[in-house]
Amino acid sequence: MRGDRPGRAAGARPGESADASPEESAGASHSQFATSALLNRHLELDDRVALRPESFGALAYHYGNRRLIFLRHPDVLTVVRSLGGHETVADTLRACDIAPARWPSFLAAIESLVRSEVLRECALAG
Amino acid sequence: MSAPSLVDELKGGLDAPICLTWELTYACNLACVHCLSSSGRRDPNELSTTEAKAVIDELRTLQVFYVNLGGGEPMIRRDFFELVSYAVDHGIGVKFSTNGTYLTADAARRLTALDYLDIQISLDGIDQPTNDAVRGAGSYDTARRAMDHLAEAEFGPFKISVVVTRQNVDQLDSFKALADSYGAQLRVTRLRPSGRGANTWAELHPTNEQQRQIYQWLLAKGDDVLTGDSFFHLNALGESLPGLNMCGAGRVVCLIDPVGDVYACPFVIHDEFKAGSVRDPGGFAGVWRESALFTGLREPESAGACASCGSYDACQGGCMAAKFFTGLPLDGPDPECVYGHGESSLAGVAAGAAPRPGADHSRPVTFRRR
Repeated sequence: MRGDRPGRAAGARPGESADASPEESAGASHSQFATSALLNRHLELDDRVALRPESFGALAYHYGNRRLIFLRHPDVLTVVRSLGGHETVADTLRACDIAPARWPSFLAAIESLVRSEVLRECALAG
Repeated sequence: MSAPSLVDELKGGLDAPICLTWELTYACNLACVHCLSSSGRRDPNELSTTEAKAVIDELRTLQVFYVNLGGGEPMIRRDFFELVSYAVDHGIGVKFSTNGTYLTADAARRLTALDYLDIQISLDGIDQPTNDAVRGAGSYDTARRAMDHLAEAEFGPFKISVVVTRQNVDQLDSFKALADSYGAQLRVTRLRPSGRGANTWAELHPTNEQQRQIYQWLLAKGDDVLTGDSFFHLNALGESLPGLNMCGAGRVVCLIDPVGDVYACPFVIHDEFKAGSVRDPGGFAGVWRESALFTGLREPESAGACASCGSYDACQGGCMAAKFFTGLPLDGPDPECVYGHGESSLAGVAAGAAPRPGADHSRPVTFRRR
């Protein structure tokens, strides 16, 4: 089954004609080390990305690399929109009331969104 | 209860399409034998510049991220640059398909100056004889000249768009090499029996053996080659090719034709798949959200004759357009079913029984005495 885990982001080349043609980003595999590093990063939404809320979460389109991304839960959309306003990813997850048990799937989604350039290092970070 | 899969949710339809195909004009200087829209002559009722801009405004409100402009030859429209700029300035990305005739050095420079723009140049043979047999005399040189202009203008990675046929399937590696030589991206799509393609499909469509060849080639190329998700019928052969693996018609995509009619599928310009018009009181959004046709397409589909086949989940029964224009039932196998179920069904379609394509704007054939 594709994309059936909450919080999983699927990347896609924008379908050039008829179809949306998404390819799902590889399932996230992150070590403990990578996880804690990610929790401490200050990320923000790339300003070339447009978000469109949908019942399943949201569609994100990157005007720079032309990738279409599926955000697989409305809470992921909330988190993605909030990242820039908090010092760290961990702060954002807490501020958005994401239960600790759900953090791994959110981190996997965030990691995938960094890979597809939807999220970037906050310009004001440091 | 587990959450529905992404594909299941998309099959239920979205409030607005992810992207859509918009044929800007039926006018074309070429007369390709497989033209999906039977283009040639401009339709006197085509959308005006003002109407086209109103459609763009509406797409912006709906947050449609990008449009695929085609035709006909879209660059023939006098307001082509005006419309493209208008869309891009309003945050709607534009991808357009062209035969390259009007892509002069000057046009290439103007296009290079625009953001959010992708260009697809059609080429259906790696050499002049293969290409021109399908697209017409001189069309190979024209396309290559347009590519040269884009390269000289440093447009960046444009796309070379190939419809895979029985005649060019052995050239896939050469097409890739050509794209690489330009720093371009290769895009290969499936031949559909739509438009004038209805008349030539039997001669041009890849054989069953070639279908397997295409599948293996695409599998090996992975993300390197764009397909517009057009070969999902081949997934019955095993591992899925990249893509959504579903028919997006009326669910996540649709088509607007030059006169503003809205069709469910970019490959089916036919009354049976016409949902309304952007000129209707509710505009495009009204058609997308409320037409009986589109809401019907978002209902769960039946596997029909394919229900007993173990590959249905993989291939989804194939392409609606391919079935429709070859006279096959929509809930049965694709005419190019890799297991041959389509071929046996085709044998049962009486001559002349397949639906004829809709609006034909082909130029009249004239007999020239020499």
